Amino acid sequence: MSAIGDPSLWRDQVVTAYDVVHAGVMAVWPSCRASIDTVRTVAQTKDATRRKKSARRRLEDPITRNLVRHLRLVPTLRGRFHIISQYELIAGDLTQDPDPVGYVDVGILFSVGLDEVCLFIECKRLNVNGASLAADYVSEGMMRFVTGKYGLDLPVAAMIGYVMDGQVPKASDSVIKQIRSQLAVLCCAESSISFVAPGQFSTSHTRKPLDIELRHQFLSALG
Amino acid sequence: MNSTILLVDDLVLDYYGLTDEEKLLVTDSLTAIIPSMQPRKGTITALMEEATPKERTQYCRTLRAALREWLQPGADLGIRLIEGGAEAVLVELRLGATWPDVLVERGEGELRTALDRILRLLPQNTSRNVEVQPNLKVFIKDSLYLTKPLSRRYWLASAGLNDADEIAVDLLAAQKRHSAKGKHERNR
Repeated sequence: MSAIGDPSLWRDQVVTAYDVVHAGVMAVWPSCRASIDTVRTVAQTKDATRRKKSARRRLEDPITRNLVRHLRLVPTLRGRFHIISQYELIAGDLTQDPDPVGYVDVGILFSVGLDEVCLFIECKRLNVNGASLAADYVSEGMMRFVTGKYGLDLPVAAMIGYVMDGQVPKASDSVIKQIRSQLAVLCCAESSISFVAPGQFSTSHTRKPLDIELRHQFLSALG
Repeated sequence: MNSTILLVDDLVLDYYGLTDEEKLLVTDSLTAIIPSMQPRKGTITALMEEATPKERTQYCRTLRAALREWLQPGADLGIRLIEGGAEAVLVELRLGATWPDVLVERGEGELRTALDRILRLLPQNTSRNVEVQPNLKVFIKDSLYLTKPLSRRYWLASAGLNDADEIAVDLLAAQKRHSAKGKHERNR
Protein backbone atom coordinates (compact mmCIF):
# COMPACT_ATOMS: atom_id res chain seq x y z
CA MET A 1 0.00 0.00 0.00
CA SER A 2 1.48 3.37 -0.94
CA ALA A 3 0.76 6.53 1.02
CA ILE A 4 0.68 10.10 -0.20
CA GLY A 5 -0.30 13.42 1.33
CA ASP A 6 0.56 15.02 4.63
CA PRO A 7 0.12 12.67 7.62
CA SER A 8 1.20 15.24 10.24
CA LEU A 9 -2.17 15.41 12.06
CA TRP A 10 -2.30 11.62 12.19
CA ARG A 11 1.34 11.24 13.10
CA ASP A 12 0.80 13.28 16.27
CA GLN A 13 -2.13 11.11 17.35
CA VAL A 14 -0.42 7.76 17.05
CA VAL A 15 1.22 6.10 20.02
CA THR A 16 4.97 5.67 19.69
CA ALA A 17 6.72 2.34 19.24
CA TYR A 18 8.39 3.04 22.59
CA ASP A 19 5.00 3.48 24.32
CA VAL A 20 3.73 0.16 22.97
CA VAL A 21 6.91 -1.74 23.84
CA HIS A 22 7.23 -0.08 27.26
CA ALA A 23 3.65 -1.08 28.14
CA GLY A 24 4.50 -4.62 27.04
CA VAL A 25 7.65 -4.71 29.20
CA MET A 26 5.77 -3.49 32.26
CA ALA A 27 3.02 -6.07 31.67
CA VAL A 28 5.34 -9.06 31.38
CA TRP A 29 7.95 -8.06 33.94
CA PRO A 30 6.17 -9.68 36.94
CA SER A 31 6.31 -13.05 35.11
CA CYS A 32 9.98 -12.54 34.18
CA ARG A 33 10.75 -11.55 37.75
CA ALA A 34 9.00 -14.67 39.03
CA SER A 35 11.43 -16.84 37.08
CA ILE A 36 14.39 -14.91 38.52
CA ASP A 37 12.90 -15.60 41.97
CA THR A 38 12.67 -19.30 41.14
CA VAL A 39 16.32 -19.23 40.14
CA ARG A 40 17.20 -17.57 43.45
CA THR A 41 15.42 -20.33 45.34
CA VAL A 42 17.37 -22.92 43.37
CA ALA A 43 20.57 -21.05 44.20
CA GLN A 44 20.02 -21.88 47.86
CA THR A 45 20.03 -25.66 47.23
CA LYS A 46 22.99 -27.85 48.01
CA ASP A 47 23.15 -29.23 44.46
CA ALA A 48 26.28 -27.56 43.04
CA THR A 49 25.35 -28.07 39.38
CA ARG A 50 21.93 -26.54 39.88
CA ARG A 51 23.47 -23.68 41.85
CA LYS A 52 25.96 -23.00 39.06
CA LYS A 53 23.25 -23.11 36.44
CA SER A 54 21.00 -20.81 38.44
CA ALA A 55 23.85 -18.33 38.96
CA ARG A 56 24.33 -18.19 35.18
CA ARG A 57 20.64 -17.52 34.70
CA ARG A 58 20.84 -14.50 36.97
CA LEU A 59 23.20 -12.86 34.49
CA GLU A 60 22.08 -10.04 32.22
CA ASP A 61 21.72 -11.97 28.95
CA PRO A 62 19.55 -14.81 30.25
CA ILE A 63 17.25 -12.30 31.97
CA THR A 64 16.99 -10.36 28.71
CA ARG A 65 16.36 -13.50 26.66
CA ASN A 66 13.60 -14.42 29.07
CA LEU A 67 12.14 -10.92 28.74
CA VAL A 68 12.23 -11.24 24.93
CA ARG A 69 10.45 -14.61 25.13
CA HIS A 70 7.70 -13.03 27.20
CA LEU A 71 7.45 -9.95 24.96
CA ARG A 72 6.97 -12.15 21.89
CA LEU A 73 3.78 -13.50 23.46
CA VAL A 74 2.22 -10.10 24.21
CA PRO A 75 -0.85 -9.78 21.94
CA THR A 76 -0.23 -6.09 21.21
CA LEU A 77 3.37 -6.79 20.16
CA ARG A 78 3.48 -10.23 18.59
CA GLY A 79 1.69 -9.39 15.35
CA ARG A 80 3.29 -6.01 14.90
CA PHE A 81 6.94 -6.23 15.73
CA HIS A 82 9.80 -8.66 15.28
CA ILE A 83 11.50 -8.80 18.67
CA ILE A 84 15.08 -9.95 18.33
CA SER A 85 17.39 -10.91 21.13
CA GLN A 86 21.07 -9.95 20.65
CA TYR A 87 20.47 -8.00 17.44
CA GLU A 88 23.65 -8.21 15.39
CA LEU A 89 24.95 -4.95 13.94
CA ILE A 90 26.95 -5.40 10.74
CA ALA A 91 28.62 -2.54 8.87
CA GLY A 92 26.91 -1.94 5.52
CA ASP A 93 30.14 -0.64 3.97
CA LEU A 94 31.75 -3.55 2.08
CA THR A 95 35.25 -2.16 2.61
CA GLN A 96 34.87 -2.54 6.38
CA ASP A 97 35.49 -5.58 8.51
CA PRO A 98 32.60 -8.06 8.24
CA ASP A 99 32.78 -8.78 11.96
CA PRO A 100 29.75 -7.44 13.86
CA VAL A 101 30.05 -3.90 15.19
CA GLY A 102 28.19 -5.11 18.24
CA TYR A 103 25.10 -6.82 19.55
CA VAL A 104 22.23 -4.78 20.91
CA ASP A 105 20.36 -6.65 23.64
CA VAL A 106 16.93 -6.22 22.05
CA GLY A 107 16.07 -5.05 18.56
CA ILE A 108 12.44 -4.17 17.77
CA LEU A 109 11.59 -4.16 14.07
CA PHE A 110 8.32 -3.37 12.32
CA SER A 111 6.85 -6.62 11.08
CA VAL A 112 4.50 -5.02 8.57
CA GLY A 113 5.55 -3.24 5.42
CA LEU A 114 9.02 -2.20 6.44
CA ASP A 115 11.88 -4.31 7.65
CA GLU A 116 13.20 -1.44 9.69
CA VAL A 117 14.46 -1.14 13.25
CA CYS A 118 12.18 1.11 15.25
CA LEU A 119 13.67 0.69 18.71
CA PHE A 120 16.79 -0.65 20.36
CA ILE A 121 16.89 -1.63 24.02
CA GLU A 122 20.10 -2.09 25.97
CA CYS A 123 19.86 -3.85 29.31
CA LYS A 124 22.19 -3.72 32.31
CA ARG A 125 22.17 -5.20 35.79
CA LEU A 126 22.42 -2.86 38.77
CA ASN A 127 23.05 -3.36 42.49
CA VAL A 128 24.70 -6.77 42.16
CA ASN A 129 26.29 -8.21 45.31
CA GLY A 130 26.64 -4.76 46.84
CA ALA A 131 28.15 -3.12 43.74
CA SER A 132 25.97 -0.47 42.11
CA LEU A 133 27.41 -1.05 38.57
CA ALA A 134 26.15 2.45 37.73
CA ALA A 135 29.47 3.24 36.03
CA ASP A 136 29.06 0.21 33.74
CA TYR A 137 25.48 1.24 33.01
CA VAL A 138 26.81 4.55 31.70
CA SER A 139 30.05 3.47 30.02
CA GLU A 140 28.93 0.15 28.56
CA GLY A 141 25.30 1.01 28.02
CA MET A 142 24.43 4.64 27.43
CA MET A 143 27.76 5.47 25.79
CA ARG A 144 27.12 2.95 23.02
CA PHE A 145 24.18 5.08 21.91
CA VAL A 146 25.93 8.39 22.57
CA THR A 147 28.93 7.42 20.41
CA GLY A 148 26.62 6.20 17.67
CA LYS A 149 27.85 2.64 17.86
CA TYR A 150 24.22 1.67 18.39
CA GLY A 151 21.22 3.32 16.78
CA LEU A 152 22.97 6.09 14.86
CA ASP A 153 19.78 6.81 12.91
CA LEU A 154 17.39 6.42 15.82
CA PRO A 155 16.03 9.49 17.62
CA VAL A 156 14.90 7.44 20.63
CA ALA A 157 16.32 4.33 22.30
CA ALA A 158 15.66 2.56 25.56
CA MET A 159 17.75 1.38 28.50
CA ILE A 160 16.52 -1.13 31.05
CA GLY A 161 18.20 -1.57 34.41
CA TYR A 162 17.56 -4.84 36.23
CA VAL A 163 17.85 -3.91 39.88
CA MET A 164 18.99 -7.18 41.36
CA ASP A 165 18.53 -6.28 45.04
CA GLY A 166 15.15 -4.66 44.39
CA GLN A 167 16.22 -1.22 45.62
CA VAL A 168 15.06 0.77 42.62
CA PRO A 169 15.34 4.29 44.15
CA LYS A 170 18.90 3.55 45.29
CA ALA A 171 19.87 2.23 41.83
CA SER A 172 18.22 5.20 40.18
CA ASP A 173 20.09 7.65 42.44
CA SER A 174 23.43 5.95 41.69
CA VAL A 175 22.90 6.10 37.94
CA ILE A 176 21.71 9.73 38.02
CA LYS A 177 24.76 10.63 40.11
CA GLN A 178 26.98 8.85 37.60
CA ILE A 179 25.29 10.64 34.69
CA ARG A 180 25.69 14.03 36.42
CA SER A 181 29.39 13.35 36.95
CA GLN A 182 29.87 12.62 33.24
CA LEU A 183 27.60 15.14 31.55
CA ALA A 184 30.34 16.32 29.16
CA VAL A 185 31.29 12.80 28.07
CA LEU A 186 27.62 11.94 27.65
CA CYS A 187 27.00 15.14 25.63
CA CYS A 188 24.05 15.68 27.92
CA ALA A 189 22.78 18.85 29.56
CA GLU A 190 21.67 18.68 33.18
CA SER A 191 18.36 20.23 32.11
CA SER A 192 17.72 17.38 29.69
CA ILE A 193 17.37 14.85 32.50
CA SER A 194 13.65 14.43 32.85
CA PHE A 195 12.01 12.39 35.61
CA VAL A 196 8.83 10.56 34.68
CA ALA A 197 8.15 8.27 37.65
CA PRO A 198 10.21 6.48 40.31
CA GLY A 199 12.77 4.41 38.41
CA GLN A 200 11.81 5.99 35.11
CA PHE A 201 13.51 8.98 33.49
CA SER A 202 14.91 10.15 30.19
CA THR A 203 18.11 11.85 29.07
CA SER A 204 18.89 13.66 25.82
CA HIS A 205 22.29 13.55 24.15
CA THR A 206 23.68 15.68 21.35
CA ARG A 207 25.21 13.58 18.63
CA LYS A 208 26.19 13.97 14.98
CA PRO A 209 24.28 13.73 12.76
CA LEU A 210 21.30 13.01 14.96
CA ASP A 211 20.60 13.65 18.66
CA ILE A 212 19.22 10.81 20.69
CA GLU A 213 16.87 10.57 23.64
CA LEU A 214 17.41 7.64 25.98
CA ARG A 215 14.43 6.44 27.99
CA HIS A 216 15.45 4.61 31.14
CA GLN A 217 13.33 2.12 33.04
CA PHE A 218 14.59 0.37 36.17
CA LEU A 219 12.91 -2.89 37.11
CA SER A 220 13.15 -4.66 40.42
CA ALA A 221 14.37 -8.25 40.15
CA LEU A 222 12.78 -9.01 43.51
CA GLY A 223 9.09 -9.79 43.88
CA MET B 1 -23.80 -29.97 13.02
CA ASN B 2 -22.32 -26.82 11.50
CA SER B 3 -23.03 -24.79 14.62
CA THR B 4 -21.39 -27.49 16.74
CA ILE B 5 -18.28 -27.32 14.58
CA LEU B 6 -18.23 -23.54 14.92
CA LEU B 7 -18.57 -23.88 18.68
CA VAL B 8 -15.73 -26.38 18.81
CA ASP B 9 -13.63 -24.11 16.55
CA ASP B 10 -14.16 -21.29 19.04
CA LEU B 11 -13.11 -23.48 21.94
CA VAL B 12 -9.98 -24.58 20.10
CA LEU B 13 -9.05 -20.99 19.29
CA ASP B 14 -9.61 -20.07 22.94
CA TYR B 15 -7.52 -23.03 24.05
CA TYR B 16 -4.56 -21.65 22.10
CA GLY B 17 -5.05 -18.23 23.65
CA LEU B 18 -5.67 -16.41 20.38
CA THR B 19 -6.87 -12.84 20.51
CA ASP B 20 -10.06 -11.82 18.68
CA GLU B 21 -7.89 -10.42 15.89
CA GLU B 22 -5.93 -13.64 15.52
CA LYS B 23 -9.18 -15.62 15.47
CA LEU B 24 -10.30 -13.51 12.50
CA LEU B 25 -7.09 -14.37 10.65
CA VAL B 26 -7.65 -18.09 11.18
CA THR B 27 -11.32 -17.90 10.25
CA ASP B 28 -10.61 -15.94 7.06
CA SER B 29 -7.96 -18.45 6.08
CA LEU B 30 -10.34 -21.36 6.54
CA THR B 31 -13.44 -19.83 4.98
CA ALA B 32 -12.09 -17.65 2.17
CA ILE B 33 -8.38 -17.98 1.48
CA ILE B 34 -7.73 -21.74 1.49
CA PRO B 35 -10.85 -22.56 -0.62
CA SER B 36 -9.59 -20.04 -3.21
CA MET B 37 -6.08 -21.44 -3.50
CA GLN B 38 -4.90 -22.99 -6.77
CA PRO B 39 -8.17 -22.51 -8.68
CA ARG B 40 -8.82 -24.28 -11.97
CA LYS B 41 -8.47 -22.19 -15.10
CA GLY B 42 -11.40 -19.83 -15.55
CA THR B 43 -12.76 -20.35 -12.06
CA ILE B 44 -13.97 -17.29 -10.22
CA THR B 45 -12.96 -17.90 -6.65
CA ALA B 46 -14.69 -16.51 -3.58
CA LEU B 47 -11.89 -13.99 -3.17
CA MET B 48 -12.36 -12.67 -6.70
CA GLU B 49 -16.09 -12.11 -6.31
CA GLU B 50 -17.48 -8.75 -5.33
CA ALA B 51 -17.70 -8.20 -1.58
CA THR B 52 -21.21 -7.71 -0.25
CA PRO B 53 -22.21 -4.43 1.46
CA LYS B 54 -22.33 -6.33 4.77
CA GLU B 55 -18.75 -7.56 4.29
CA ARG B 56 -17.60 -4.05 3.45
CA THR B 57 -19.22 -2.66 6.59
CA GLN B 58 -17.68 -5.42 8.67
CA TYR B 59 -14.25 -4.65 7.15
CA CYS B 60 -14.69 -1.02 8.20
CA ARG B 61 -15.56 -1.99 11.77
CA THR B 62 -12.48 -4.20 11.99
CA LEU B 63 -10.24 -1.54 10.45
CA ARG B 64 -11.45 1.16 12.81
CA ALA B 65 -11.18 -1.02 15.91
CA ALA B 66 -7.66 -2.16 14.99
CA LEU B 67 -6.46 1.34 14.13
CA ARG B 68 -7.88 2.79 17.36
CA GLU B 69 -5.44 0.63 19.29
CA TRP B 70 -2.62 2.58 17.69
CA LEU B 71 -4.02 5.99 18.58
CA GLN B 72 -3.58 7.93 21.80
CA PRO B 73 -6.21 6.99 24.38
CA GLY B 74 -9.36 9.02 23.94
CA ALA B 75 -8.73 9.91 20.29
CA ASP B 76 -11.96 9.71 18.30
CA LEU B 77 -11.96 8.01 14.93
CA GLY B 78 -14.85 7.89 12.49
CA ILE B 79 -15.13 5.76 9.39
CA ARG B 80 -17.32 6.07 6.34
CA LEU B 81 -17.76 4.14 3.14
CA ILE B 82 -18.30 6.16 0.00
CA GLU B 83 -19.84 4.00 -2.70
CA GLY B 84 -20.99 5.19 -6.07
CA GLY B 85 -21.35 2.33 -8.52
CA ALA B 86 -17.78 2.71 -9.76
CA GLU B 87 -15.05 0.06 -9.93
CA ALA B 88 -13.78 1.08 -6.53
CA VAL B 89 -15.04 2.23 -3.19
CA LEU B 90 -13.51 4.83 -0.94
CA VAL B 91 -13.03 4.37 2.76
CA GLU B 92 -12.56 7.54 4.73
CA LEU B 93 -11.13 7.48 8.23
CA ARG B 94 -11.45 10.78 10.02
CA LEU B 95 -9.72 11.81 13.22
CA GLY B 96 -11.98 13.41 15.80
CA ALA B 97 -15.18 12.28 14.05
CA THR B 98 -17.77 10.79 16.37
CA TRP B 99 -19.89 9.15 13.68
CA PRO B 100 -21.90 6.29 15.09
CA ASP B 101 -20.75 2.93 13.70
CA VAL B 102 -19.91 2.92 9.98
CA LEU B 103 -21.33 5.73 7.90
CA VAL B 104 -22.30 4.50 4.44
CA GLU B 105 -22.82 7.05 1.70
CA ARG B 106 -24.05 6.01 -1.71
CA GLY B 107 -24.01 8.46 -4.57
CA GLU B 108 -21.88 9.07 -7.60
CA GLY B 109 -21.48 12.77 -6.79
CA GLU B 110 -20.03 12.13 -3.33
CA LEU B 111 -17.61 9.51 -4.65
CA ARG B 112 -16.52 11.72 -7.57
CA THR B 113 -15.85 14.70 -5.27
CA ALA B 114 -13.77 12.60 -2.91
CA LEU B 115 -11.91 10.89 -5.76
CA ASP B 116 -11.11 14.27 -7.33
CA ARG B 117 -9.57 15.45 -4.04
CA ILE B 118 -7.40 12.35 -4.00
CA LEU B 119 -6.41 12.31 -7.66
CA ARG B 120 -5.25 15.93 -7.42
CA LEU B 121 -2.62 14.79 -4.93
CA LEU B 122 -1.27 11.94 -7.05
CA PRO B 123 2.10 12.55 -8.74
CA GLN B 124 1.74 13.30 -12.46
CA ASN B 125 3.36 10.09 -13.67
CA THR B 126 1.10 7.91 -11.50
CA SER B 127 -1.81 5.95 -12.92
CA ARG B 128 -5.28 7.31 -12.13
CA ASN B 129 -6.68 3.81 -12.31
CA VAL B 130 -7.35 2.76 -8.72
CA GLU B 131 -7.52 -0.88 -9.82
CA VAL B 132 -3.83 -0.56 -10.71
CA GLN B 133 -3.13 0.93 -7.30
CA PRO B 134 -5.37 -0.93 -4.93
CA ASN B 135 -5.20 0.20 -1.33
CA LEU B 136 -3.80 3.61 -2.09
CA LYS B 137 -3.65 5.69 1.10
CA VAL B 138 -4.09 9.42 0.91
CA PHE B 139 -3.77 11.73 3.91
CA ILE B 140 -5.69 15.00 3.57
CA LYS B 141 -5.73 17.00 6.81
CA ASP B 142 -7.64 14.94 9.40
CA SER B 143 -8.89 12.44 6.81
CA LEU B 144 -7.25 9.33 5.50
CA TYR B 145 -8.72 7.90 2.33
CA LEU B 146 -8.22 4.34 1.17
CA THR B 147 -9.17 3.40 -2.35
CA LYS B 148 -10.36 -0.17 -2.54
CA PRO B 149 -11.40 -2.33 -5.46
CA LEU B 150 -14.58 -4.32 -5.01
CA SER B 151 -13.08 -7.84 -4.92
CA ARG B 152 -13.71 -9.67 -1.68
CA ARG B 153 -10.02 -10.17 -0.94
CA TYR B 154 -9.70 -6.47 -0.15
CA TRP B 155 -12.63 -6.61 2.29
CA LEU B 156 -11.81 -9.59 4.47
CA ALA B 157 -11.54 -8.93 8.18
CA SER B 158 -7.89 -9.98 7.92
CA ALA B 159 -7.42 -7.28 5.25
CA GLY B 160 -8.82 -4.78 7.76
CA LEU B 161 -6.27 -5.84 10.36
CA ASN B 162 -3.47 -5.77 7.86
CA ASP B 163 -4.48 -2.33 6.56
CA ALA B 164 -4.62 -0.97 10.12
CA ASP B 165 -1.14 -2.28 10.85
CA GLU B 166 0.21 -0.88 7.58
CA ILE B 167 -1.28 2.53 8.34
CA ALA B 168 0.18 2.41 11.86
CA VAL B 169 3.62 1.43 10.58
CA ASP B 170 3.50 4.25 8.02
CA LEU B 171 2.64 6.68 10.81
CA LEU B 172 5.33 5.33 13.14
CA ALA B 173 7.87 5.63 10.34
CA ALA B 174 6.66 9.21 9.67
CA GLN B 175 6.96 9.90 13.40
CA LYS B 176 10.53 8.57 13.41
CA ARG B 177 11.46 10.65 10.33
CA HIS B 178 9.83 13.75 11.84
CA SER B 179 11.60 13.31 15.17
CA ALA B 180 14.93 12.68 13.39
CA LYS B 181 14.42 15.75 11.18
CA GLY B 182 13.74 17.95 14.22
CA LYS B 183 16.89 16.73 15.94
CA HIS B 184 18.92 17.13 12.73
CA GLU B 185 17.77 20.74 12.42
CA ARG B 186 18.64 21.51 16.03
CA ASN B 187 22.12 20.12 15.32
CA ARG B 188 22.83 22.47 12.43
